[in-house]
Amino acid sequence: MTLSGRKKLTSMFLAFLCLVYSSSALAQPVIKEITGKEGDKIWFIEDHSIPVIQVKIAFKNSGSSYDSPQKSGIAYVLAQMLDEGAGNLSDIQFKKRLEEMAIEMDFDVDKDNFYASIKTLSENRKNAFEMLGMALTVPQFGSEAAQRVSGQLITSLTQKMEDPYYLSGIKWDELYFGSHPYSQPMMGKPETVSDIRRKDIVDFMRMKFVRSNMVVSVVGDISEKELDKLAYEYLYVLPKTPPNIDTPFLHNMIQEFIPPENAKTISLHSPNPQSVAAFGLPWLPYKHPDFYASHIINYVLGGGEFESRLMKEIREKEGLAYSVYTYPQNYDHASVLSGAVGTRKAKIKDSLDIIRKEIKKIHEHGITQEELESAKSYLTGSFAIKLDSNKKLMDFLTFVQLNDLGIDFFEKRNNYIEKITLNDVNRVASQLLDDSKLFTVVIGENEKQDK
Amino acid sequence: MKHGFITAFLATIVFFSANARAAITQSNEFTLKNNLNVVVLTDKKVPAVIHMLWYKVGSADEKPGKTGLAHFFEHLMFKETDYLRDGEFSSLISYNGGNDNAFTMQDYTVYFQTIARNHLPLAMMLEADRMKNLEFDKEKIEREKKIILEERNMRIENNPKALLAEKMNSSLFNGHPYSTPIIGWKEDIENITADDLKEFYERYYRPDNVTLVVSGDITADELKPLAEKYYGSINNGEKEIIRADLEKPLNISKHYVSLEDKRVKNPEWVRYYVAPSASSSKSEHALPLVVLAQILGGGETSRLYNSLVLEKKLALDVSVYYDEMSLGKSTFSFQAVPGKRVRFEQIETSVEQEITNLIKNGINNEELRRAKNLLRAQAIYARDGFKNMAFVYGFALSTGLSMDYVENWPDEINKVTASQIVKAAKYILTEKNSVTGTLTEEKQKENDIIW
Repeated sequence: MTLSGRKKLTSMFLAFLCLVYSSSALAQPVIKEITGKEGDKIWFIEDHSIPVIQVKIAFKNSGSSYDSPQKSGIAYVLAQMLDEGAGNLSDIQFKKRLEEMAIEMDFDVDKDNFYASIKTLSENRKNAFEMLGMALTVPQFGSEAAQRVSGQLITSLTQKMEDPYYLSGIKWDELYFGSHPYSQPMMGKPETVSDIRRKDIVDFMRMKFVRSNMVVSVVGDISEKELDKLAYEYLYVLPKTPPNIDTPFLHNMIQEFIPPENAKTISLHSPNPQSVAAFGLPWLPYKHPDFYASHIINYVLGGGEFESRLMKEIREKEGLAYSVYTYPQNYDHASVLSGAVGTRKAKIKDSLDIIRKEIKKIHEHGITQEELESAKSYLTGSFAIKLDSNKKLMDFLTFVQLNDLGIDFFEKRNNYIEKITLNDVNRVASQLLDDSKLFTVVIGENEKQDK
Repeated sequence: MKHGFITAFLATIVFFSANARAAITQSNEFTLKNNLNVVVLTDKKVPAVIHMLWYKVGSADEKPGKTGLAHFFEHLMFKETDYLRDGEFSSLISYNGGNDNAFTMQDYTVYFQTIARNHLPLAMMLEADRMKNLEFDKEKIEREKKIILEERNMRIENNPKALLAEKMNSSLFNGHPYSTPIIGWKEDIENITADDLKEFYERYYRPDNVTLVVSGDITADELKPLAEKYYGSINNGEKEIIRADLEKPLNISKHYVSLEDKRVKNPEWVRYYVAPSASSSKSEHALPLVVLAQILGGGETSRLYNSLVLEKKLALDVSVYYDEMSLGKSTFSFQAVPGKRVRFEQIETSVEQEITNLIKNGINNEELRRAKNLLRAQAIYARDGFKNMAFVYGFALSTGLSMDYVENWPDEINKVTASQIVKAAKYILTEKNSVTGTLTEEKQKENDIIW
């Protein structure tokens, strides 16, 4: 294969030439499901290539949307407090012990779930499981640590408000989700974080950290037998089901979100030279039969970086932005196609007009056969090679379990994409991709238009 | 995001080059007849590779008045060649399931693709093409200028912290090639011409000025014929490679830079010291400085965090950063977020007290052991996946270091003694070679600086 003698022929020609080089079949990770004595399950990939073990626990229905609406930020504060001392170890002792053994312990939340994860050298596995178990069952929540953590969080939240990308995302969620719990920011708000008390996080933890909510994924240098033993000893000490706590907000269920009829646009003033707009519209959930068709629409519209229509029109043709993109956000009870663009203040409206125009175009005329082929080719070809580290495999196991996609999802996933036809995509585009449902938040609209 | 994501990438570099290094047993190096240097790292877990070209030219090599040229040029590399249309490079990679990107630093410029192993020849063919056959279209260059100005808006102009860092760096390295921002000053970007770009290309983009790093499912025996085939026949140009004079003496005196910006919500205190790198003069201090940064400000068990955040409650956060991989001198930096009603001078005094204390009373064995354990464990964690190590080797080889340097790093870290660290601290952390920066909201009385 060589380029000489070829003058700008069609690119597809080249793509097939490459197949002459020895190809090796994609290696499939062997995913095991381990079932403990009491029925608890772990998804596990055994790998001894590096002496490292990574564990991720997700607690379902325990994310920021389950915060009390008056105290947005409870789940996130809990995440920040869990490594601030546990059992008989003070905050500083706990952290020093982690550092001593180079155990990395992280806690995080998204709208739906709470996550706890560890990375450890396999020689320290027992200590790592033990300390994770301590953090989840007997955290100290000392008042001095709590004050410090909440002060840090409030500062960091005020600082984040300076970032137009963060701000536009927060405002978009408020605008779109309205009174639904998904409108709450994941990290809380400065004014609500200061109201969070010890009892709030203790109750939240007792109610949520139970085995019926727990989804465990492990990748690394450990045997199945020992993993089962360590999990039994240090993780299955959590109660099976939630205790009886009468705090009302902890019993709130999240309803399926119904997208509003009328789209809205808001603009906020900003001193920045570059305006940032967040935009989005209703989308399909993973379990929907047309999900993969919508996935292809996203790739063609704004998900496929330089291959996307938005990047070609807004960046390459008009020079209006360095960055413009879309991506699907699939929550348990709502799905949206989100996107963002940054353009100098005087021209932000031009970028937004193009976005609307391109959405309309795909809505009315669909995508081309060539675009379909390119999207399928990228989405199938990149899938397995993106899972290029144990960390990513662990995240993948968690994702598949949380969305109930089946243990054979790795093998099946590309077939779902292969079978999509142009008719499927264009039918879905004509129903789904409706610019009249586009919600937009502009941070720093052109001053002239504000008047 | 794609094409020159300088700031985003800095975060990765903090991780890679300050901490993460480890030996890979299957590493090989060979050189083609035209002096193109090749590094192969074999890790067969996933049937994919990362293919990277590390050109030995960066922002430090730009002429006065032409800052941003190296980065501007990086953008052009995705445009038209004799054989390919604009953007076709990335289209071909995507069509074959791969991802590609690039970034520009002070000492080097990097282009890379992650792709299934059977498509490696495609990536090589495309890189070989743009090493020689790039076209320079004035109109397209003017359009790209707008995109780069939006990139500067997004990364720098919209972000007061980045503006302060730019001012401080300019002041610390006053008159030195490292004093200019990688993305370039706005007026300079506007003044870059097609001739500048063409001259730059002819001088620096040639096989003997690049390190090829390929990591993943590939051996040296497999790579050699491919490297010969695609890169072996490219000639080095006639122009002389002129690199910046990085040993140029710095005219250093202690000084202050302040930035008042109405967008700032939380004040910030930052100090930079000029420090040796592992390649500059006085390089014997480099590894002791890596350990020093960990002990002073590496996380929540560090001395500064303990003193300023936990004990004195002056700061909400404090951290230290040092990267020993730089062709010329490096920077040893401190950053603190003052608590409410805390004055900058209180932060400054406390940081200086901790430095004095360390120099006077030394380091205890326990904290030295903890810091070293953590650094060495992170070198093992960096081996998760085939991509990280490709970056680490690339950073090293592009900043005048060898493969041995990377492979011996954990052992060399282990050999660092307490007295070497104290000696390095004494040599570096003296006031005469520092610049201190403060970030405040306009007219903020509480944090007025009284020096």
